[in-house]
Amino acid sequence: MSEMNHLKKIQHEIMCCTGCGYCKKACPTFDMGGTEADSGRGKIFLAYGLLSGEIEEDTSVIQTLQKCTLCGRCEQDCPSLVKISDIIHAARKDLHGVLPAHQKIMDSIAKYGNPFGMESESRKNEQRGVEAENTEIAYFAGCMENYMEKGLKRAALSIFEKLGVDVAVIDNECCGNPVEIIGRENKQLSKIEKKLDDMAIKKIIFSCPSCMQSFLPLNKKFEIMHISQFLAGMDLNLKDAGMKLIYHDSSVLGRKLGIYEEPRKLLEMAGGFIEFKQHEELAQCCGGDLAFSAAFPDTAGKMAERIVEEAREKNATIVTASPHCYHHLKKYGDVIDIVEVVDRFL
Amino acid sequence: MIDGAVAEEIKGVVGEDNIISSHAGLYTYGFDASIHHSMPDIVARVHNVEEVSKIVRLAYEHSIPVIARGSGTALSGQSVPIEGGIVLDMTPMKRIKEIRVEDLYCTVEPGIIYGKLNEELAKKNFFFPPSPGSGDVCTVGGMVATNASGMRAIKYGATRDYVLGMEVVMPDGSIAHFGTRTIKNSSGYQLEKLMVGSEGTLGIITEITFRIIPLPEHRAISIASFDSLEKAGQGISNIIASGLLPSALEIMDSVCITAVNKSMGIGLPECEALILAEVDGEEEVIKRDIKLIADICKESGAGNIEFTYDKDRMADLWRGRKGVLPSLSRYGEDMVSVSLADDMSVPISKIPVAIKKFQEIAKKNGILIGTYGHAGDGNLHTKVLINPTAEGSWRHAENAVDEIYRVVISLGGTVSGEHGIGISKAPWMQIERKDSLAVMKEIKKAIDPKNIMNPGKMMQWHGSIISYLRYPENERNESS
Repeated sequence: MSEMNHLKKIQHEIMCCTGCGYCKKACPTFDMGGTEADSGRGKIFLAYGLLSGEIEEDTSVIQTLQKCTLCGRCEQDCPSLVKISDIIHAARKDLHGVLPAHQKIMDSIAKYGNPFGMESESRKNEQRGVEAENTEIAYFAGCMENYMEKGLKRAALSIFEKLGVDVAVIDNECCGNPVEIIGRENKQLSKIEKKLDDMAIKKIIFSCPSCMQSFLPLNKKFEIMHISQFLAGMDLNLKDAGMKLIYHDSSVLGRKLGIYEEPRKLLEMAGGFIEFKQHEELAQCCGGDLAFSAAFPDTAGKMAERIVEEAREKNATIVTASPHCYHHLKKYGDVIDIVEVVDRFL
Repeated sequence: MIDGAVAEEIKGVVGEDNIISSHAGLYTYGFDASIHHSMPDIVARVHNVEEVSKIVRLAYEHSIPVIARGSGTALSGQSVPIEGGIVLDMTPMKRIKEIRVEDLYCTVEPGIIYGKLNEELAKKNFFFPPSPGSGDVCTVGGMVATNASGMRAIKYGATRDYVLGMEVVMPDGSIAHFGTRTIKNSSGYQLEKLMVGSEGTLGIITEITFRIIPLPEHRAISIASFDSLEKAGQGISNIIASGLLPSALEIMDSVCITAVNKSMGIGLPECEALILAEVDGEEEVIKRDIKLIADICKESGAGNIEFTYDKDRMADLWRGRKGVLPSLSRYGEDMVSVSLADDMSVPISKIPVAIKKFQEIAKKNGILIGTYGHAGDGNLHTKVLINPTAEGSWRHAENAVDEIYRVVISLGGTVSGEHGIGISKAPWMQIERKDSLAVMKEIKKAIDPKNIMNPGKMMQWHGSIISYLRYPENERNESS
């Protein structure tokens, strides 16, 4: 049996949960599944069981603890301020087993440097930015923009070019976020850090909030920022988009990184936007997290449909500020990312 | 353990997708919001009365325990299957079947969330008033099973006062209908009322008809700060004695105030105790009454007094009040709130003396107790704060709980005003209701001769309540 070292470290946090059930109030996975195991409380209960040795790891324990996007929506309703995501994440770290979908992601990152199992050759002849020695600013393109949603990378680089900002493009390694989310050691970041150490980079700009989240441990060494933060500080003079836009807060960009205002400011510059019924801290997660949607595609799909449905009712096009949300939501409805909005109307 | 063939039959009733039999799934259904935990053998998510009836019939044939469960927000272990068996997850049964404002009733399935029912009723300017603190997540079936109520009970009463009729699956699987859809009913035994507060020990409620009432037009709240709990308690008594009938009259001590401010940032006045009073009704009436309440508080020794008619501020204040229970877990760095001795009720005039005694008991046993509650109807909440893994903490807590309940009983009070008995209060209910215990047992035996309905709870519980503990580590068997 595992030593449960990560759970032991946060035992007091676990015991602070009174079991009141308020975490069920707006939890997206609970909304879709409806069982105790789907709720934040259910997962904390499992943490109790693992800690006390009353239960041992099996497939159902792994499945339950992984069936959460770590979106943190439940924490907005928890009156005991329990760090539910941290508990679930700690429990994941104490697990030995991995779901097959997650194993595939980890193997792909180890072998190909991306979670999709795609050869890096597929990115040949792409726009590359400037040579690293000539700039202090880097744009980190995540795997989603490099392999699945190349248009977002093109849009980001096009913006930099239009604005005359020289950026070095870092796009040859996965940031390791999916591995971290699954609860395994992220060895990717130290690899990237070594490369960055050889460069003159002082500021790193991300269009992917998950990549940015992975870089948080390096935030003393580098100034890290989301592309919306970088752009919102400039006088962009955007043209009116002429579209009814509705902004979807990414859980990572919003609740985890606290970035709410900047994408909104950019959309205001492009003629305005409307809000989802639940937005900012209370925004609903779309289920687009890579590890989650790979392991639980049906639940992730239902979560996305709910968001798309509200946008449809309001006759609006969804604007994301995360390639993961973009990639996931576009399977179900009309979506445009903030980098595309800025690039198109700059 | 349930026989594999029986499990297959249950699966046949609800379908494989509605069966929970995995290790992790069953473990999570072993909890509610109490201190207890015990695993069921199987969980069936039920969608209609026929499914419930078929499963209960199977349970009856094979003498298997059946435990109905709503959102699992019970605070005394009512939903914890201490003898294993079948847990029926009632939450898929969440339809509102009928809202008839012209007849002043609504008929619903038990799994609907209280807050969601009220959202629908509010569209017609009506409401179902009991307002438990867990109202945003608890089911109305659970409210009936525990006779839940909340801060507005002083004016509007408890769940029992709104139950007109219900459909129940009896322990042999037969379907019975109790009560009526009429506001008045003197037609035979009030069996629907017997089911209220029966905590799943007599049958499974599958449909309920509630009386509903019009929403009040306006509300106002006043908060009065006091430099002692006793003065605040006296203030409560003085308000009641004045003949005013507030829609809520709450008390909170300094432990609770600090916890709420720390955890929720509501900005309650920091003081030894505060009274939060709400009045509702027509605008002129509420303006007059809130002023009268403020005057009485002042005469009772209140310092600062704040009024508000602002909906957002009132919502914030109620959020703070509802958040006391879980917020207490954030009071200290090394202690958490555990659900013990949580909802006693005493005659309203005895509140000051009860609070004083509770503080003495806490001090004597070296534990911290937060006191708050619906003091206007005599219902107090004490929350025991301990480090669940520290040596002796559960023993000290149990001693304190015993002393608290004995004080409550000596003051003419009851061990549970609104949360019910389950496991955590059973020994003291047996003391408080010693004269009616034999009748309760006879009723249980007559209706549930095989003792399959939520067995082992209430009058059937024996021994220390520090049993089936959910908390990790060392002391789970210390007192047993």
